[in-house]
Amino acid sequence: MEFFIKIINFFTIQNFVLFFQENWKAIIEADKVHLTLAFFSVLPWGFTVWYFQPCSKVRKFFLTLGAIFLGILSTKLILALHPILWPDINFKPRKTTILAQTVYISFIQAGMMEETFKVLLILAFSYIVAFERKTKTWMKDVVLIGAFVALGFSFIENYVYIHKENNAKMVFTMFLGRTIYSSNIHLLINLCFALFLYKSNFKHTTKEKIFYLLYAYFLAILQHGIVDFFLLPSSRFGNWLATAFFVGIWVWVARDLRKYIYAYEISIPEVQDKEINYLEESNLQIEDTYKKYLPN
Amino acid sequence: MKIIPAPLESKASSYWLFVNVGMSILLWASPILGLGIFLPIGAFFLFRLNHRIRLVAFHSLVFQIFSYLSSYSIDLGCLIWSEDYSCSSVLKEQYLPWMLFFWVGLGFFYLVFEAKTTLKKYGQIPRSVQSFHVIWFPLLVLIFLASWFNISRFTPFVIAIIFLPILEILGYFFWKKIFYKLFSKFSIFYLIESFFLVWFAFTRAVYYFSFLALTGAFFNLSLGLDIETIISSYVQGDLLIYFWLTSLYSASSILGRNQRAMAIFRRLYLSLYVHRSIPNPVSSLESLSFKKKFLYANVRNAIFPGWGHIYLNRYWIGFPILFVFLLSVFFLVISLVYYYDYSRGTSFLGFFGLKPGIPDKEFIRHTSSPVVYLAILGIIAFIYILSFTLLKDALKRDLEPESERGLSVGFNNNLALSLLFHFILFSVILLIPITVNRGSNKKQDISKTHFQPEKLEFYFIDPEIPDEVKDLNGGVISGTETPSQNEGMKIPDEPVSDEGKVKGYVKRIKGKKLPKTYSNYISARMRGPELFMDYWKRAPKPYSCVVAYTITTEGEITDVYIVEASAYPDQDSLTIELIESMSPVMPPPGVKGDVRVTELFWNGSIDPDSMPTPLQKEMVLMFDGRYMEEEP
Repeated sequence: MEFFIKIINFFTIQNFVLFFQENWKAIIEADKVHLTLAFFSVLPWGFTVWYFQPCSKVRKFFLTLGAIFLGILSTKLILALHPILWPDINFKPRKTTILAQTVYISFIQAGMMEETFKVLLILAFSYIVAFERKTKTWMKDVVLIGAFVALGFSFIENYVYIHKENNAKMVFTMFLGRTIYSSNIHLLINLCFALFLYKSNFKHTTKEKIFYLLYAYFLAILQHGIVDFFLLPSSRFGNWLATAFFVGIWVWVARDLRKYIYAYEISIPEVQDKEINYLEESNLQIEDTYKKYLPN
Repeated sequence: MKIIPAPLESKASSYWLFVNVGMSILLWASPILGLGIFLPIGAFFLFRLNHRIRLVAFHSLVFQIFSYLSSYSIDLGCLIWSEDYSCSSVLKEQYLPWMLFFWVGLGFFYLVFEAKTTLKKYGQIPRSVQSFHVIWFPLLVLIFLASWFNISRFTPFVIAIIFLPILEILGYFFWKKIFYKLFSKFSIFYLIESFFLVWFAFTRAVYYFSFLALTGAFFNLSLGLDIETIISSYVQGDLLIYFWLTSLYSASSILGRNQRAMAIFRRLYLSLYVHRSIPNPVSSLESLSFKKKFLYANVRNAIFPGWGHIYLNRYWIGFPILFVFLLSVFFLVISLVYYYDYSRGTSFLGFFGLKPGIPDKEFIRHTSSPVVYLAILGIIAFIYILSFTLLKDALKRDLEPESERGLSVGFNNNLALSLLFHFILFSVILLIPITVNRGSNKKQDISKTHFQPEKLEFYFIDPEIPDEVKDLNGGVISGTETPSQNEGMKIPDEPVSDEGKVKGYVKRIKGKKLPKTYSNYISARMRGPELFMDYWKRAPKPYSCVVAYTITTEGEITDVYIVEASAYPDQDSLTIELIESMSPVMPPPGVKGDVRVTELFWNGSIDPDSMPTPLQKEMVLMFDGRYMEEEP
């Protein structure tokens, strides 16, 4: 019962306002350099997605702003719900091994918690602004929303990690790691989900659509879990596996983006030339000597 | 899918400019960013027709492989043939001038080769390209001179900023005519220019990365350091060779034409492109395209099993086979190194951040049996057979469209995937990260009272993991090489600092060559995780804490807890993590029950007066701050 009361209490408006006031105050008062670094850690990827999204600029701007806000909100929600879902109990804690802990952190605490909130917010916001009621289809803007919810989340997470780093010499290394790995993987996982959302348009029945989205949600948790699981113990071999996995997701997402989102607006030689003529497009002239190798 | 051409071509090209520039930067920087060879491989899958990106990905991949091979072969050679752990760095320091001479010479000869082949193939460089060199040539000379005399690290940049506009104006009126005359005859000037460029980029890279590594951040550039020491400490890096190669590439592209493959790789690159150009699916199984494809797929499959399937866009079969193959090869190499010398095996695994998931003793027993090699070789042979059988089948079905080449039902289609799944489980059991512990916690809390100073012994740390141990706290200068088996060797009172950190007094002791103690083993065993976790680098100064833990008769480490905490909880938890990460260890010798260890971790001097608590004052005098005791 106490658990439910806590949850109900949490959702009062007063509490909400307090949350934001306190946290923003803390963030703005904190080291501005770290805040700037956190901003730059998401900027390149955010700009890329923003630049390529086929959408009017004004709409793009408001969608982006809303999505970033929701991304930041999701961090607050997770932080607020954390003590309720995993309370600190005073009696002697159960001892677990580090391996079990790693699995628990990467799949449940990080994977499930983070992805659930992000996915829920993406779904809710997309349903409000990027869902065509008449045809019952998702618009292409879901990709933008998915990306910026992830980046909003990542922005706060990166800030916390950069700020927590005690060793001043390691701040830049931390920034680089967060930019390359963490921001990117958050972005890619949610882009993958948003693409599933868009692809669910091609499913016929509602049941199929729901199962498809559930599949996408569990896939997001799995992706997050696997990458975290390999990265957490910080072994070189694990790093390789995580990087290989991460590059794999990148190839998949980029291909789907080309196929479903950008193909009609932007001329993409990768898509077009495959259809038209696979040999014409080339800024490198094939030398005569190599012509014999070409298929007839 | 019907493709509608873009309404605004200029807009589309600006998108592609963005993609080209962004991807090129990421691809060139991929080893620095830690993305390694994976990003170029991913780019190959993603950009099938964009040559700007494919060229960069290709060169980045080839250079990385070359630099890893050339730097790790020395390390591996040292690991196998030398007893000395610092062999490779000593070797590199000793032969530094020769190494520099070798790399610079190699670059020079390569540029001559590039100039010759490019001139032969394409003739003279057009004037529009030359005007670029008119400005760059004198500038490079200036920069080179500044670098050579080592005036100041920033001088070349200052020169560049001030002189660039002046040179541009001068070049417009005066330089151009002279240079056109010179350049249109022979490309020797390009050669010199390119050589300068290589030298310049090389030295800049050395500066940049040494500072980055020494200070941890690049905004801390104000340290004055000697270039000799920097080069000597960084010539060993594979990253440096990679940088040298990239600067060579940029020089060769100035020398020849921009955006082309280097002359030496041109054939390979174009062949790859031609192979890729065969459509999927082919028009008929009788066509020439299919015959070519058949050959290319089989050759690929012979090099790496699974690659042939990937070439046919059957990723769900190709990648699992490839990964199983790579894992088997990895296991084979590990077992071979363990068979050769298991202390080397431990450090070899440590290099990857791994350790055996089962106790060392078990692991060593398994790797010393020939059955293991035969089994692994059998698996590799099986993978080859499986891969070729499936490839034969896949080629017969090559008329299938690409969309049907995904995951599908059927035993053959999923065999490789299932194999990979079992292999991963197997690997997770056998190899685990250094920082991870899989022990169980059976024992309960222990009291502080088990510390007994009258049982003190003294040791000094030997980095070698011993083959055989006897006693817990016994032994004198255990395992030290002595003139004969009967005579002892004099050990000075001064701390021995060559072989790592010495904790505790080293007494003048005479002794025979005795088996090492268990404490020696623990000290040596702790070095791997210490180094890997940067334990001492991260420790605040001064730091001291006392930790107690139990080693069970099976070699599991349990009940790690802090007896006396320091003022730094983060470091204390790292200490606990360090101890836990050692598990499993070799079981303690000659004991019936578990062994309890009390250990002091500190980084100050060996001075009891400087320690904060009475327990630490006593512990600091013990060798390695460690005391072991058998539980009743």
